[in-house]
Amino acid sequence: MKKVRIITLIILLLILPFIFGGCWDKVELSNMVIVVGLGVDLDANQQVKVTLECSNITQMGSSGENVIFTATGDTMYDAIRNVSLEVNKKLFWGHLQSLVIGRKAAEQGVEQFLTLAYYTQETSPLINVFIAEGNAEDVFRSKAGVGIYVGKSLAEIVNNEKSYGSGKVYPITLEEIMHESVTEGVAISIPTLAVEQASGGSGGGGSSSGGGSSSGGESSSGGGSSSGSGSSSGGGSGSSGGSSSGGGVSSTQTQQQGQVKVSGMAVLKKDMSLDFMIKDKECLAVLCWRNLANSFSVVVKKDNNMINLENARWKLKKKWDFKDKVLNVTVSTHMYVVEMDKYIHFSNRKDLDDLEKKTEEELEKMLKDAWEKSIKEKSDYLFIGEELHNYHNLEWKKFEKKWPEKMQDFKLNVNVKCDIKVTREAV
Amino acid sequence: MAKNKYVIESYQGSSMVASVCFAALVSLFLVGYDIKHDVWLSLTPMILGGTVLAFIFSWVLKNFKGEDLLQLNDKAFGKIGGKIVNWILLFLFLGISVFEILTAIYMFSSLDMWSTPIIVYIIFVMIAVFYCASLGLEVIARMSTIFVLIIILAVIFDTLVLLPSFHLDRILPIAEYGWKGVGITGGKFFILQYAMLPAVLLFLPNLRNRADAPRALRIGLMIAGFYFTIAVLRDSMIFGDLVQNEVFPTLQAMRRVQLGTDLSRVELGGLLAVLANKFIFSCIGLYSISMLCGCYHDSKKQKKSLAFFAVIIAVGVYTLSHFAAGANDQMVVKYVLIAGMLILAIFLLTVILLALRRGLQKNKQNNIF
Repeated sequence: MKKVRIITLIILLLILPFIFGGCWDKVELSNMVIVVGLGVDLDANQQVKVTLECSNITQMGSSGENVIFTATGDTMYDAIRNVSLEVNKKLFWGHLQSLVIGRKAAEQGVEQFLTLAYYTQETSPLINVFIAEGNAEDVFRSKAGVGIYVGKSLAEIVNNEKSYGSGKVYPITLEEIMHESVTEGVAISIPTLAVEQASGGSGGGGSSSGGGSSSGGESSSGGGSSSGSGSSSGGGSGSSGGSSSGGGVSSTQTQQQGQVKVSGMAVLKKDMSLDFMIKDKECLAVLCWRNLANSFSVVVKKDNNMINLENARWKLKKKWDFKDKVLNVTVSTHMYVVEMDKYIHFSNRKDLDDLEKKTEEELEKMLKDAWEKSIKEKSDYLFIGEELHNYHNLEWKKFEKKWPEKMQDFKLNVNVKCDIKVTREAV
Repeated sequence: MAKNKYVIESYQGSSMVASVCFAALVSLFLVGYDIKHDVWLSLTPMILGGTVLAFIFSWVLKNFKGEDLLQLNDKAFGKIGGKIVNWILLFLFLGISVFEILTAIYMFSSLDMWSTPIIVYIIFVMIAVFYCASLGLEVIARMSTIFVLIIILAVIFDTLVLLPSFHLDRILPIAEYGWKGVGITGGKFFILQYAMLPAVLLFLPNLRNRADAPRALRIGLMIAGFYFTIAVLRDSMIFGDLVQNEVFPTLQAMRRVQLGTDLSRVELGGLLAVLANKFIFSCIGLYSISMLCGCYHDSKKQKKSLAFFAVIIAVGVYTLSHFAAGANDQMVVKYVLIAGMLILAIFLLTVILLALRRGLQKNKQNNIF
């Protein structure tokens, strides 16, 4: 038996170096490309076209450059596998920041794309998701913010909205979408992206192929489109202005780089396909209804004077009267005057009361308009159903199958209480 | 003086009790498939059932001091009946061990290690399990203490880093899918968690201080209860209704960790907890099986039986992998539930017979005097 013990020990000791050695399957930084952004489009042949924004870092400490690859396939997974036909390094997905889905693809439904990204081990479920008003590829071929990488900049832009942004969009992560997709009654809203073409620029917009771009007017050989399951490498690097040749029919063009901006939010249907898009105040209303609005501003007109108010606190409470079918909404908000066209002293309390009343009316209108739109579009993107489902489940069960159509049976009462303070800077 | 390989300390006994229960965590979410986010509510019936079971075990350990499961079975069913019951328990323990090892192996596959043939994992795991089990009860108990400590630290660490991912509203509304479902799932939880608990009667009588056995058992069950409550509640609050799609929720939850730029995706925390508890469970399982076949307190015989059953388990895992669709195979879970139910039923029958016999003995003594 002692022999068996010694043999077992030897076998285990021999195995240990392979397990704990740590370096036997290492991939050097110079042998991998880090995927920062992933775009999904549908091409003319209804094939899935993926766009990978990769970071080409060859040495530690350098910020590298962005390189774009595209490929098509029957499914998103197939297309991603086809990318490796033209990339000579290992794709590393651990630092993926943004997933952008093109409008055409979103209209067909986003569920399959999100599910793949969510359940793939390599990606993080905390990546930000966007819907492009045009093509996802155009988004990655443009410039976003001041960073090198569009995917990273986009994630930063929306995450800033949580604390000090415009207050008109809210970042939504992949895991939040997946959770909301199984939440009954509600419609998911995802930030949208628009590419603003620089003057004199061309391409972008509706075109999904070609579109190689580089800053500073340098030329780049754009990855032309290739039909079937073939792949096309999108040329054109971002800010570095380098070039890479693409497969298929390549085209070379000179153009200014477009600028990507977060343009609003897209509301999805129950089947996870694109329903409609909302912008500006409509987006703010969604955040206000969902109590997600932290930092936002409203402009109120008082005696031909435009007064800008910054929100410091927002609390919306809903009280349901199921007997009379009334939804009573009370809002308590604290705001500060930050800018005025013409100077008002506000030492007279009446002026401040007037402003408060006007602001309350403005906010009430905004909330009511959003409610009306929600009824009109038959889409509960205000997440009214979620509260019913979570806190009034017995009542919810009565109309869960007819929600959001049943929203119109409820009468909405909104009562906004606005407390305004005047900052010294504004005065 | 050489240490006695078969005598363990009280705290080691507690950690072994906890280790026997820990392994069920992965399966809990599988049986809670129907009630989605309400899965955490099922902890209540499970804990209540566990408390009752703790009293029963305490009664056995108190009244039959120093007697292990084999002796108790002999006492309850007679010599031949006892042997038959031991062999039935042996096969049921085998079935559960095979399932637990297979789920641990499937976990590697879920980590994108698809290219590695399953037989490679089986060989590695079974060699390690055999080696540890062959070192004797005292070594298993020491390992168990270390592993339980690792598991508890991992659970605390996981919970702390996952705090930002908690969403209280994801476990609302309470009992959406009905209390009946909660009760049924609680029952399944109870069976899965305590299915192997009778195995503790194979080593708790070996405590250095035998009077400590009931207390060691209660502490062990409390540690397991704490672990399950934290883990299930945490994962329910993270996944909500999506928990039904997760086979290894803790592992998946760790993908969400993002604390600034310094700490992100620490799947290792979840992996450690799962691997540690599966490994120690397998060691205890194999050791218990070898004891049930009657080869105990004879080191040579025991090692032979350990090697034999390690091969049987390896073959079992390999065979089951061909029938099971994956780690979320509901059919396999059903068989494990049946096996667990049988083990607990046999144990309860043993306890009832022991109680009756004890009652009869007391009556006889009273009549004599």
